[in-house]
Amino acid sequence: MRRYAPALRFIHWLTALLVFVQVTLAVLNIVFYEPRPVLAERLVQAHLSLGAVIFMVTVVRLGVRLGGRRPTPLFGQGTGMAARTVHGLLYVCLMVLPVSGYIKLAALGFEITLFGVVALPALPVQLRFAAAADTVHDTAALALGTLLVLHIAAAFAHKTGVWARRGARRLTART
Amino acid sequence: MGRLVLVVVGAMVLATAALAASLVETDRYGGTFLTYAQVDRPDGSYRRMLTTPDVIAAATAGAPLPDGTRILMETYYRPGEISTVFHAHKVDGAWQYGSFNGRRTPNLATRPQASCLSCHARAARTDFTFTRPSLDAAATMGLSQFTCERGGRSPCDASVYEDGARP
Repeated sequence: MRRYAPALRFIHWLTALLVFVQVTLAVLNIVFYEPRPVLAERLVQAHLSLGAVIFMVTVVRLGVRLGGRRPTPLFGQGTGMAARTVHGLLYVCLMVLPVSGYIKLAALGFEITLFGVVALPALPVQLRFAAAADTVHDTAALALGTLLVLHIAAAFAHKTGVWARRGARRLTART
Repeated sequence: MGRLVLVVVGAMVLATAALAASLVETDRYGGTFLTYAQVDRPDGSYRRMLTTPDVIAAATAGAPLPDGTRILMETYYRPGEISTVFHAHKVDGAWQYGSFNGRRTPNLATRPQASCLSCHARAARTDFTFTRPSLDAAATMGLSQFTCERGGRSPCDASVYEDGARP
């Protein structure tokens, strides 16, 4: 098996898009909260709703992934281990970020309503846990950014490796 | 000896009252508000923090601010020109946030707002208020004025607000 199943590839690119929008919304809050507070609040509300979508997409993805086969690693055992570690940590971040955000706002007494329709239940979390949840959220966001840099760099290296092997095979076939 | 103690205590009370009185007062927000801090930014913008005299009198370091506390943050992008004014109101131990523009037209209703709470969560140690050290010091030290070196609008680290509150 050379490639991931189409369903997993679709979920992968959907997650990439959602994470990109999610980061943009968080950054735009900092830009707009003073001059355009109403817009900033809408952006953050969208961030909360999208966080729940990312959480659900990740749960589905893990289900699909655990139930199916994975492609054979192209490189050695060490690289395969590194890839599995980065992928595993990416999944952890994608789960921890929405959960910590939910706990943080619940501790502060904020009731989250997804897409203005679905109210999330209030959590029995004390006010003093808000700062800890905030630290977890910020740390996970930083970790996600770092892991994404590694992931994208590794993806390029992987593609370069695939192209090099194809080129070598063609060359061997000709001679 | 007893008389000397009385004189010293009296002088301290008077000095505290004089410093509190030295805080710039305004009634443009429908009541008396005192400016207890000014936080400058490297780009020339600054924020002024205001609260009511009773809150300054009641503020005790380490204890939460009382219910009903109102704090205003005026934002200035040009000297003397008020842009958005933010309003924090403590209700049942939790902060609610709202805003209005420089002409006092409301834009964000005062209630729990995710955009405000998400950032103020990191100021848990100081009652979810970044400039709380300045507020605690206002009664004895007057106005705190200091610079947050970070560009843009993100709050600085807690240590900047703690150090800035010292005379």
